[in-house]
Amino acid sequence: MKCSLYLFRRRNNIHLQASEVVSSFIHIKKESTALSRVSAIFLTRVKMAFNYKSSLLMTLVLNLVTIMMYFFFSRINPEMQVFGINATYFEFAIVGLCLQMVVGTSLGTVSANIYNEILSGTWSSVLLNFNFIEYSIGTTLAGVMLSSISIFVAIGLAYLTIGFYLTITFQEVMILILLFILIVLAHMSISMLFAAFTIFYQKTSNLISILYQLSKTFSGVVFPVSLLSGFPLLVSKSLPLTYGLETIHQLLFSPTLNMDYIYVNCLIIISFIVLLGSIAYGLVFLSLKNIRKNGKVDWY
Amino acid sequence: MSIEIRNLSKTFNRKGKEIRALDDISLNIREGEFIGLLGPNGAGKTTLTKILTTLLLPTSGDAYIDGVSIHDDKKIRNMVGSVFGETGGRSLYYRLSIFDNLLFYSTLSGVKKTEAKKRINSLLNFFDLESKKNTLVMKLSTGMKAKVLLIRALIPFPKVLLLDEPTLGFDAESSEIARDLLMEFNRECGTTIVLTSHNFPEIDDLTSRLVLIDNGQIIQDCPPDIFKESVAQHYVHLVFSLPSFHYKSFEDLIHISAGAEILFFMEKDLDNFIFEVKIRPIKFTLNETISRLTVLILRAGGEIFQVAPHMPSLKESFLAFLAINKQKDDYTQSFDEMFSLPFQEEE
Repeated sequence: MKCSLYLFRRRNNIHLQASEVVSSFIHIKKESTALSRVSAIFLTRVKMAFNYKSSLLMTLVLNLVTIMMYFFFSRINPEMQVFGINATYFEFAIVGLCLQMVVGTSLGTVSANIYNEILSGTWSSVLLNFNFIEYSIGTTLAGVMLSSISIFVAIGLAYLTIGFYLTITFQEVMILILLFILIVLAHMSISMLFAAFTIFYQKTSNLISILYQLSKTFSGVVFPVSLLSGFPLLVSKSLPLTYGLETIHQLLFSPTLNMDYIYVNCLIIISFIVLLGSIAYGLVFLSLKNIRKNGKVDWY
Repeated sequence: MSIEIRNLSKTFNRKGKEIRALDDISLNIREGEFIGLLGPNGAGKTTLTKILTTLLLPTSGDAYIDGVSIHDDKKIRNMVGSVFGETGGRSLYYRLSIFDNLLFYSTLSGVKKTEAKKRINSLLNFFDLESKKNTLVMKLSTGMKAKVLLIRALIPFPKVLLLDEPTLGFDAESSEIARDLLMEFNRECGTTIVLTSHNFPEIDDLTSRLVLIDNGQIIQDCPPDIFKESVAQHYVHLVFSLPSFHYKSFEDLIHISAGAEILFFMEKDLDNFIFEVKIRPIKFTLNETISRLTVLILRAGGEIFQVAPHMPSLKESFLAFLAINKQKDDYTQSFDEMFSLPFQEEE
């Protein structure tokens, strides 16, 4: 039997024998770094998204069309009024509009990914080598990159067709990038918090959609926060996007750069990240312990 | 790496009802041992495997792998590789290729990317999957997915392998080469392997020790050969002719001279004095009994047409063992019921 198996393998050009495979494994001890694990998670998500070609393309095109329209209306005739609103309003709204997609993605990615893992049956295998922080960063980065593609393509197209009207310094670009990262991280922390509940209950929560709608309404995406008062203002002040967006507005549209204001807002967002992130980490730890205790790691 | 299980119990609470999946299990597995875990469905095999991979926490008791408690999950996960009995490879990403799946999981488990690629390629070559490495998992057959799952468990080169139905869906050829590879890992690298399978020939071929679980308890722990001998009957199947045959004298002769007993007797062809018997050795080994029977019949002027030793397969022994156990349980139950009735009435 062994002899015929050997001949079969030789005939079919399967050259490796069991001993050769095993000997190639011995005496090698190289370990992957946290960065390589994050990039593995990131690449896996991106590749999977690209394998859902039609849905990815639809999202890209729709986002692109919406953003381009805003650019178009705001630049075609600055004196134009739509229902009594100046076209310059669109200049204001475009920032929030671009960001809301990124915010939406970073808000939902971690918990949605974990829920998908539970649904599909990959969760227990992922859990064997699970590092919550690495997983969160990898999946969020992938989601944000995919949702940002349309924004960057739209900005590029707008620049080519309409021209870029903002004069922006290198320092402002750096602050913009920093703010972008902080906004993403703050919303990732919220998603991590929801992930704890997803792991525990093996369900997703509609609270994420509610939170997303609140962010869109009260964080200055559609209208300036200065117009709010009372309870809406309180809601606005409890959302991290408000601080990020306000700072970006200040950075782009104010003639002078108010560094103190930027500083304070950045610190507030960092506080959000640290506070929510720590709570989420603790809750995920407890959730994982609970599901392992009750035999509810996955559905299967 | 050795595995030490001490008084391990696991109870699940399902809709207010307590289900005892593992009941005070203790077991020692030496470094480099290849053990087979057998038991009927729902016996507690998967629960035990999941506890050892740290995916489940025990209700009480503890287990140690190389002296490290299973409560230290990070360290344990670095030592253990596992395949969970799953059909259809659902723990793989269907929208990713075989190679991407393996690379993702191996990087996650701590293997450096360059090293992981080498290992993936050699294992894909070994399992004849090299040409399919860029195929999406969703397009693979069940057997191919099972191969990918086994490869995934082997890439991190774990010191302990916990394999629950690893060759489910494999064809005969692949099953054979998978056995080869597992044996090689066990012999050359001293990998401790715990194999759970309903593929009895596989368990029989590979393992040096058999642990039987039923109702969450270990009910047998011995080498497969001893288990087979103790549970199911091995016998000699004999077709012979003897001119002056008398059953009682033949039976006595078999008992005294060959140290055996007749299990089955049939007059096959009375005109030509041809008989068929099944004889179970009692005093001597199977081979020794065969020699003694041959000499007895030939000396008595008889002729032997067929001698065939019957060795029970692991499957036969397992089924026989379960049947005996069930009978015992039924007996104990009825006994308990009989004596519990008057006390209930008094209450």
